Amino acid sequence: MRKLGLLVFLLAALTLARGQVEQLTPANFARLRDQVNVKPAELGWQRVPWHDSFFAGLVEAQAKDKPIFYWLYFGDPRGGC
Amino acid sequence: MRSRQFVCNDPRVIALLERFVPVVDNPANYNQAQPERLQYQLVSRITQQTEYGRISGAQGLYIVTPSGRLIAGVNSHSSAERTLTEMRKGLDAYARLSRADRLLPRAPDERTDRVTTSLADATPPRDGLNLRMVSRGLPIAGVDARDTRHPSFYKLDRLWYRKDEARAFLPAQLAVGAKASVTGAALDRLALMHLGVFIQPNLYWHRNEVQQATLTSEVTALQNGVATVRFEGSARMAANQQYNHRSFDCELLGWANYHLAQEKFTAFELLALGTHTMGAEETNVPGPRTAPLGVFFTLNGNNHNDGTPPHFFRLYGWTGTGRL
Repeated sequence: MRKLGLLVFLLAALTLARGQVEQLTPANFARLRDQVNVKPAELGWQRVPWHDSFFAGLVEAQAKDKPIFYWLYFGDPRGGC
Repeated sequence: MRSRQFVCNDPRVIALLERFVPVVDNPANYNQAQPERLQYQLVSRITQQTEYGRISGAQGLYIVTPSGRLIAGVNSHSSAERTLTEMRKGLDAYARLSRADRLLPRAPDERTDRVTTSLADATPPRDGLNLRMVSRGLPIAGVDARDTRHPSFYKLDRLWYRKDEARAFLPAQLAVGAKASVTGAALDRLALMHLGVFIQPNLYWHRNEVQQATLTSEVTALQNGVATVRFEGSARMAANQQYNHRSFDCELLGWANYHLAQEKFTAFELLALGTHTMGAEETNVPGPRTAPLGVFFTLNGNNHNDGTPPHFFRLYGWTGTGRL
């Protein structure tokens, strides 16, 4: 009886955890993919020709006599950060 | 991430950026840099003028002159309005400076002035598989709009595979009905460095924390020299580190097209959907401890900014340092 009670508890806990998210199926794949995926409106920053290094930006800024917009963050802010 | 979404994605900021030279940088690039290099000296000078006082730990959006003067900017990563104000302030300040004050006395010399970094030569394998990862929380009550698990935030990364590694996503024989388990670097790199990882502060899993990870690949069609495969699997990870006791439990589903003659993927979609649980020690996170999370993998774009190396590239072992 105790084992049965434990089993019921574990199943309930697993159901509760799984119940917080839909079961992934071919039928809902496209909708959930679109929910997770990045939207075109979220990629405006990609239109900017960001220099990959401070040195590369420095060369252009010196040549064109322009100020540098310096985006400094842990990791690359265009990726994992 | 906030600066990417709320500031650098703002159309007004993007428009005004045309009057600047836009640069991204990571303070970690200078951890082992040559201090005699002009680039190091300029970045050191710039960050000394910020609230951080030095390179290590410095972050923000700043307006600087080629000569290394900080003329505007602040670590305000969520306010486009504030950044616009600083950009205009920077343009005004730049215009008032003499040429001698705003520019270097000579053009930078790559041979003597440039700092070399471990990622300097990092490029995706030309004949391999180059994927983009997007990780995003799904709606759940109680997750605050400032919480990065909120659906309004997304995390972005890349995932690179060499040709031989990518081939493991397919059965050895490409015939309809052929089935195989995806193993090796193909599954490891995806599971350890991406599934349920990108919740601040982005902690990758150690091997012994992967309780279970399976992914099967089955050829469902073969037409016009293209094999279509279906992916299906599941994974469960539970961290057991001193300051990390997070877990992630997910299912995986997806598909891909593989061109037999070209020996490359022409389409790839793999979605992981599951629940992420914060560690018991993370008592400063309001809202539910467990929340739904999706991670989507697809072929990377060809925008210049898509060439950003994977966040955990140092763990690939390709540069000779670091490996999981």
